[in-house]
Amino acid sequence: MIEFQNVTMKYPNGTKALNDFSLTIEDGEFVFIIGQSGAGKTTLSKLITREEKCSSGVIRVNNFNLSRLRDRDVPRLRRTLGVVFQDFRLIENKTVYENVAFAMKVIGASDRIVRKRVPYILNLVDLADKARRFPRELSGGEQQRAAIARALVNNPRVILADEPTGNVDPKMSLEIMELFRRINEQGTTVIVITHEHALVRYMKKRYVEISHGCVINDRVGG
Amino acid sequence: MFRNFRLGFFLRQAVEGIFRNGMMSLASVAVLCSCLVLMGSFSLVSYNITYNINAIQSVNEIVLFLDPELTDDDITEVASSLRKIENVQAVTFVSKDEALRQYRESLGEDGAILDGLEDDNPIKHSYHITLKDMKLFDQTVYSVGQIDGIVKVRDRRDFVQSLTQTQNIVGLICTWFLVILGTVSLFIVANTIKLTINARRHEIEIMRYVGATNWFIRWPFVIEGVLLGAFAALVAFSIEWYIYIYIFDKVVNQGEILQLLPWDRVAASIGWIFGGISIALGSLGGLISIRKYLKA
Repeated sequence: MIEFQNVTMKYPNGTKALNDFSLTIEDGEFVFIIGQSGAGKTTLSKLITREEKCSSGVIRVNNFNLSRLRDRDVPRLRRTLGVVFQDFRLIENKTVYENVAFAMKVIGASDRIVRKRVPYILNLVDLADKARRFPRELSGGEQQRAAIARALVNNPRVILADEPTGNVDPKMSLEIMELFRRINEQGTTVIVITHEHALVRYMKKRYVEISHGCVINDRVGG
Repeated sequence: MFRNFRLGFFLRQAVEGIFRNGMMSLASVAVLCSCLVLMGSFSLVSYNITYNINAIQSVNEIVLFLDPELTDDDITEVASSLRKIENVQAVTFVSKDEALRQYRESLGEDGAILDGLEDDNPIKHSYHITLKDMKLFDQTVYSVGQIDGIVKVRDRRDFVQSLTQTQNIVGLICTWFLVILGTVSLFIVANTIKLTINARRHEIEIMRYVGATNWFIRWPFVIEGVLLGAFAALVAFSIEWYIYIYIFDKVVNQGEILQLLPWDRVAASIGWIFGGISIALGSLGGLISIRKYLKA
């Protein structure tokens, strides 16, 4: 569960990104966060991953109270989250397989488990036949699916995707949404931050609209 | 599960990092290595001086020549006065006949020129005393001079003093080399590793996002530093060995006054010092370079 209670986020330069912001996302939900650029969407994402600390209010993510979380415990929080970026952030000199395996190895998974789990996840995102390709040899949609595989491989409770379709053509965008739907159907909470209303209308899921750091709309449908 | 140390993974990352920036790695090994060799050479000089000071036994021996007018009783009296001085360790009487015989022996075949002196021996009876503590040298010489019946005191003070002075200067230079070259090496190692970090910044970012611990992220870079350090130590050790066997030996054996410690006796200390310093500098370089990438 992700819970924001009266959260205010003020950057040192004086910008107020979130203003008395409250939001609850239950386990297993599929939620869109939408809004203009500068509305506070990215700040929201950075607060969930504890890249930033809020100025006031309470944030709880997967049973971690983020205002009380010590720096050295941040990795434990992040292991419960799978993050997907607009620019994919795949490692260029590693193959798709190695990119996904890397995410497992760096949190200490044994080679035996890596060998079992990575092909399963690549199959899930429909990239099994591209496992040995390098990111530059893939289309934008395929690269994003590889990045989603990497986010999924450590079995996170929440997938947090910040503009996941920003660098992907419209047809591929819908495929990626379908992939998220399948992931969500297996019980993983999915949060998609986007400014594309078309995706929201297509998916008919809950959406939360943010403007000037406040929730102005929270409803289901499109 | 949370504390993971995967040596194989870290080593692979570290070795990749070294070869990715081959030239910089080579440069940092070269600098670290020069630092070690310079420092090692100065320490060896200092070490050998200490060895020689201790080796020259006559250094802590003072020879006291006695007034020829003294009777046997007077001579015994002098000995008991000497024994009362606290810093005196041993007192040995050398008669004038004995002294002449030793002198003749030291001349070898030329000893014949001393023939005929037995009856009119110009050498005086003497006491040879050794000291417990060389630091109290001056005080002891003064106390000895106060005893009646001693006409001349002969010591090797000047020689000891010049050796000690040289040793102090060498020690000072050694310390400064350690400080200055150590800092330079640290800076260069840290910068070399920064290149690796820069090439890996996307990987580091991903590691942080998927929840790798800070130590898991650090280890490859610390190990890279340790490897650079260990390699530099190894090369420096070989160079030092060569320098010691060929150059030190030549210089020291020209004079035939000083003795050189055999390499076997110093090799272990040099090895430990080189290994310790370079590995410490290397790992510290790794830690410094990664520091700013690990903020939350």
